[in-house]
Amino acid sequence: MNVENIKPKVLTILLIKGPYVSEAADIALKTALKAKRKGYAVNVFLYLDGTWVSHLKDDKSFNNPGDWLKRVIRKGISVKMCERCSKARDLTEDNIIDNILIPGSYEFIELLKKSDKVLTFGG
Amino acid sequence: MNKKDQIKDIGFVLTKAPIESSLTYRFLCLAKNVVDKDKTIGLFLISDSVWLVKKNQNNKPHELLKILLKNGAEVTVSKDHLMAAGIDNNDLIKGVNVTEQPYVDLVDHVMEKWNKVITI
Repeated sequence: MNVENIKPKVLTILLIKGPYVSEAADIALKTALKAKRKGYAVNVFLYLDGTWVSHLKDDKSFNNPGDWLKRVIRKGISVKMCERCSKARDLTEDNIIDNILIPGSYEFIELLKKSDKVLTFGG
Repeated sequence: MNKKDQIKDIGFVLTKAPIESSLTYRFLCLAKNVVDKDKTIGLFLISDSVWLVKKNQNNKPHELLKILLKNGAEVTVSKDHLMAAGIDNNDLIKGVNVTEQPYVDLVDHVMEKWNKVITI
């Protein structure tokens, strides 16, 4: 069997809590990075208040989940966020971190179907 | 195969403190129901949930965790979060595994050691 044809297992991480209210965002993003490093295909979906992490564009002198999210994107992990949740919070492509897609939440169902495992943080 | 390496039927990832809300207790009740159906389980404690393994507590989630341990649940706890909470090895109930690489081990459990996973 050609090793190159073996598809990596897929992990999808759903984040539903905003930054600085708990450790959920940090745990979700650090887990995504480790999973990617171990060779898994990883998706991150920001939902409900989890979408606020996308808004942390600027540098901060303290722990910044926005930096973790940028690192996640730089590593090639797919990051998407719910369109309705984004609209409700006035989050647009102009005021969020670059390279985050904003599809409808139907996209999340598609991700679920394609995933071997799903982790939800912030529930 | 080493018992520790056996794949568990269901893994539970806990992030919340024992009495932060009723969620932790209800989650552990769910885990107990799974064990009662002769399924194998693992629990991964990260963030505030590490308080569950501090000994000499008087609360229902802690008592339930000890019952789960007696019934074969594999419990893994993040050392980073134990240290952050000021809980050292002498403070721990017996039978828990402490991991120094919580995120690596979490991914490993979720992707390779558990058939299914539930989180709170």
